Amino acid sequence: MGLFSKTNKTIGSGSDIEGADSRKGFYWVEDQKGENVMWRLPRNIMWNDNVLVREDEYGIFFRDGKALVVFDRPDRYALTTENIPVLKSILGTVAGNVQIGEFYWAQKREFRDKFGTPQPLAFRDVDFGVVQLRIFGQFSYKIVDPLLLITQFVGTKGLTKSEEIVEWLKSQVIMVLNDTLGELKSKKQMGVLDMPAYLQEIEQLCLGKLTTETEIYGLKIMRFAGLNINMPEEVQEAINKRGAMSALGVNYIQYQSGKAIEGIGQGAAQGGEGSGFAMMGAGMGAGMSMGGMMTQSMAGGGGQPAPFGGQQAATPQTAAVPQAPAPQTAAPKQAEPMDKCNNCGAEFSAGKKFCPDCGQKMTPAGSLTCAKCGTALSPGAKFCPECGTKVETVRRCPRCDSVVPAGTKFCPECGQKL
Amino acid sequence: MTVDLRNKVEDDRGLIKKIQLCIPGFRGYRQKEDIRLADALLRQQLADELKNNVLLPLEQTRESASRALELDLMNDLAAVISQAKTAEAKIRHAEQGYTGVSPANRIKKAELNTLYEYDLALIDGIRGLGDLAKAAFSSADAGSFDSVKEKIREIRSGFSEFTVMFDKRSVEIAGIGAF
Repeated sequence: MGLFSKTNKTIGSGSDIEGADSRKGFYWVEDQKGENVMWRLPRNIMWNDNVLVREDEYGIFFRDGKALVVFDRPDRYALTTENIPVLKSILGTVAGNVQIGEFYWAQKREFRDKFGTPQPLAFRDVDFGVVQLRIFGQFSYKIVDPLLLITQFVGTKGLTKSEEIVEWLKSQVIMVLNDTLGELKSKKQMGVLDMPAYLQEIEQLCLGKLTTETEIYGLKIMRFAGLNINMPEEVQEAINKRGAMSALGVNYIQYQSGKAIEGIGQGAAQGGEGSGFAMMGAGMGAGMSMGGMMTQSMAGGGGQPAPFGGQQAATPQTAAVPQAPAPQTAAPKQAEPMDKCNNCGAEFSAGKKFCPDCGQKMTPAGSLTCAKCGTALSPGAKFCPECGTKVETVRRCPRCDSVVPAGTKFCPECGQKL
Repeated sequence: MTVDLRNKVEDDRGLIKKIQLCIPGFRGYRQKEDIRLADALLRQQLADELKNNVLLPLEQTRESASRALELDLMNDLAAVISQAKTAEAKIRHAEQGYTGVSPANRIKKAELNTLYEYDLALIDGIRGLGDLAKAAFSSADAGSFDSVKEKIREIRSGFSEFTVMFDKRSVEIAGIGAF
């Protein structure tokens, strides 16, 4: 009974491997497995030692420095050396040397890890010029040839943890991704904005290329997941703004003005100091707007359109000193084209954007106005922003009120330029 | 020439196995265990055949397509490679027909033999898929990716057939044939 209990204690117990003298059945102990890609049995194999190789493991048997066999099927193997336990020391003394048998296990399962560019990659894009791209994602890899991994990569350094392998694989992935994106840009004219639609294809392209890079080391990248190609925040913000402007049908100045007004409203709603600042901002905004309108009205029809926010560059005559009224010239003045405000009915010279009397925005000839309240509508608008009335798609001539087909530049009835 | 692995396993029986055959009650277990072993060896060969002659050419095709930046082909290739990997794993780790001491469905020697013959019949299908995969690789290597697409479609339908056929295996193991 004592004999059996002793045998049972030793067989299969991996925890007391170090320094054990009796023959045992060895297996990869659990606390050494985890994220280790391979593990060396911490004692030499002797004659007829039994080794267990599981479904998710490879076993590699080395004798006198030579890899003799790779076990890739799960089973219990009895290994053959010439070191018979009892005779080992006698043989060592007589023959002068002892045969050394080593055993390694390697994992068959897939390991997962993440990759990412340590610094943004400079990429020449067709739409945005040079942009900095950040790429990150996950990948999985596995050992496909344990013998190659040991002989070509790990060597005898005893590197059994996956960190070093992962670092190397990450650098390969980034290199191939960079190369692939460059090729796609130059040969397929793929821009940064097209990339999200082709993420799976890009993954597969990289997998195809990576196979040859990694297989010589007995490793294989099996798949990518969650590949993400990002631009810096400021570029992303600019793209978002562009999309929003396009959706709203406004230009940059209109968009920014709208955002500013929205900000003022939010600040006022918050109250407290924010409210004070917001109101101050509103005041300043209103002042600037009024100033712009006044400058515009004073400048008359001959003034250049304002480059930013309706303000006009001050000319030397209007800058500081009030000028004396210009002497009346004898030459008769040419009749100026006139406009009429829809809101208050005031008449003024054509070309103004706002009515000088009531401040109502003027509608350019041919543009759409709301049939109910007469508010000018932005191109493509489906509802009036003031009263919510549905916009009629029928265009009418502002001169003769006849229906004008869409896309025409002149009224077919009276010839008015639209 | 195909070797019947059941005979090979029987021929290679060592002394201990021969003694086991003489023990009453142990003989049947030994015989069934040997058929299971022969079937496992056969499936290993089938899986290796699938890996080397179907999966490998498909991966080489993917490599050629990726070098040529054939974006439209990549997803189809990924799908068929995934099918090949799944089929290989299914064959390699398939159920071997073990039962307990007093099981609900007893698996007899005749059923294990049927299982072996069932697995043996898969070889022709796998070889057919291998021919298609090699042809796809040749086309990709020559740069005619339209014909690659066609062959991949055929391989995909071949794998679908294979899956249906292999899934019937569990019915064969149980020997119930209910469906």
